[in-house]
Amino acid sequence: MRNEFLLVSRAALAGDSQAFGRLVERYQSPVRRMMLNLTGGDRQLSDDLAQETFIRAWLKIGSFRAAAKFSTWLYRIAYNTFCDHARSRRMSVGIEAAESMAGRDGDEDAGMDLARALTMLREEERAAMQFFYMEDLTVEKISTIMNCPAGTVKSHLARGREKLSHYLKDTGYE
Amino acid sequence: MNDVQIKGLFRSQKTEVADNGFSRRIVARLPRRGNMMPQVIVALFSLAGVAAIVAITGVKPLEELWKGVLLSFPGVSLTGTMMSTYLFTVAAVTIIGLSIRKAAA
Repeated sequence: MRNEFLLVSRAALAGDSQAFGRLVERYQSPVRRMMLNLTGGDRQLSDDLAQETFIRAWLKIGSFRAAAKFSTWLYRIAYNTFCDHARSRRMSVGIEAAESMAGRDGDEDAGMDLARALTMLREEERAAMQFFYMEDLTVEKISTIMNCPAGTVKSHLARGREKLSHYLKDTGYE
Repeated sequence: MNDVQIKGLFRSQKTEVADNGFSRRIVARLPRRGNMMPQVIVALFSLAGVAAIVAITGVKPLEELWKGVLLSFPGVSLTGTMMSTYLFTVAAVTIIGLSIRKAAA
């Protein structure tokens, strides 16, 4: 944590791009994984959005306040980057994108089902589910990232759970 | 499907994404930051730090230190005051210069 604080300070105060590079190395996996799930498994798009996230973070790092954890601050930028993209393109994540997710390591059937199921959710529900179940973030942190009250996050989670359960039940999950 | 099963499904899909040069590409594409305020603040605080040292200890200890350094070079015969003025100026200009260079890089 102290090391991370030093890296952020070096990047913010001295414009040290190498220090920022260490932060990118540390957070590239969760940010790219998050984008991969939010975009329904589109690798190229998720990498482009992750890149946009880190460049925005670099440009805004002077405004980072240590009161917020760096990861929460970064996730917020990532979520806003995704929302901006979704707004501009009104994404329609298709089955092709979901199929590309099946190529990932691990249980391919489960990956395909999860990717398909996530595309059934609204963007906010998908993001809340991703943050809560995949990244293990608390409802309070998710509300900070998504810039909405904790109650709204809970509603997104409840609806997301319900839709996901129905979909997976229909596809043979018990 | 209950909450535990949903959590298990997400967990089974939680894989580390290999870097594969992603971080290096990001660092190579970082744009120049237009806001130089942080560098200016660092430079100002560095100068304030030097001033605080002088205010607390006086110029004598620093003068002695630099005199010792300079006298190690042959043919140097500066007065103490000239030396201090010269060295403080060099230090201040160096700090500001380095900060600006870093911001421009």
